[in-house]
Amino acid sequence: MKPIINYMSAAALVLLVLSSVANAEIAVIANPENSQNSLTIKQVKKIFLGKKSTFPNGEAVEPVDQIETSASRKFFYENVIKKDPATLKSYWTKMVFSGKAAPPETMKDDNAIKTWIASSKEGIGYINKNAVDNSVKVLFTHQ
Amino acid sequence: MGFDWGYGRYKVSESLSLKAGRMKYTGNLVSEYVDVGYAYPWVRPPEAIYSEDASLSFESFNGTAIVFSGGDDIEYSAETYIGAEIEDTESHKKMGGITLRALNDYGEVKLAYNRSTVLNPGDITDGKNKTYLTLGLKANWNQWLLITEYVDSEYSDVPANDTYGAFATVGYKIGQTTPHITYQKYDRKTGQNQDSWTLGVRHYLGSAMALKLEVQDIKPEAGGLFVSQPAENNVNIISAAINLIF
Repeated sequence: MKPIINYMSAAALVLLVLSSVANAEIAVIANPENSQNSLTIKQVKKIFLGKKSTFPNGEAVEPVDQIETSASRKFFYENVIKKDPATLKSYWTKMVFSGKAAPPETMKDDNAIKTWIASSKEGIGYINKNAVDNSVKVLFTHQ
Repeated sequence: MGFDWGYGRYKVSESLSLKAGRMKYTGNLVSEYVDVGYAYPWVRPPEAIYSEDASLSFESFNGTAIVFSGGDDIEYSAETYIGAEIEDTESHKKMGGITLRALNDYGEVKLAYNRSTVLNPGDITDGKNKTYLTLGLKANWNQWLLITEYVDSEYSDVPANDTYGAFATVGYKIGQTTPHITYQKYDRKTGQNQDSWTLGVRHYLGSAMALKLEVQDIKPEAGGLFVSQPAENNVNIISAAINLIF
């Protein structure tokens, strides 16, 4: 009996780990009333690195980050923006000290982002794909 | 009392901005954040270009500037400015210049020209015109890092004070650690030259700290950049630094 339970627990653990890795994928979201329908990865990068202050359609954009310990943030910066934390910090240091741009505000987690997006026409943020619902509009997903 | 910078910026359009007030000199590669160690790999920005004698002698000035910018895959900007910086020792009046910059995901190129009339009572350069030309390049490719810059500084009627400075840094990123090597050369027409090699390493610790260690071998001639001539022909310096960002 015992070996079977151990085997099944191990299998369950592996499945749990695999599913949480697969589900780390993020979606970049905006308010459902935003007239922008989609963004390319380049456009997402420019917005979150402070190089563009408008959506491609010309409307103002306000990006928001999650806090450094958030899993969504780690996935987003590793796979979409492709900068490690030290490189990103160095980048913002240079931008701030040369007066060009400031880093986005940070919020606690996916729910905090969704709540804020719901009342912000210009807002853009990233959340776990599984957290997407009718309260947000998906502009980009990481494939 | 003085402050580093503080200016008003008026955005005329997505590609045109006007600045007025106290602003940082933009011509050198790291001049805008020269005091922020976290932003570059060295303990100190290379003295062949950034030391007081080799550089423009000020970091910020009062003036107005027009900035054109744009580009997509390659971003570019052109900034022209006029202004002045008055200090107790060396001042620059009737100053004007242009800084051109292009950058993309792999690096940055900067070309700048600055012209001013120097006021330095008692010094041979007092009342002379100074031109300051800089060319800089930063590149990253995979783990490799290259930073190089060249500066040519000339005075009208005082060729003895003409100088040029240059450095090249090559680094290789291994995780959070980047060892690097730098060659610097500084030449002054009066014969106070120096060249040096620096071997260093920068390590990022945690999320907001950089640790740095460097060993430098300098060969000064007629004192080079040193305030008083060293007794030896070879000077070795070991430096360490911790940079924090918050």
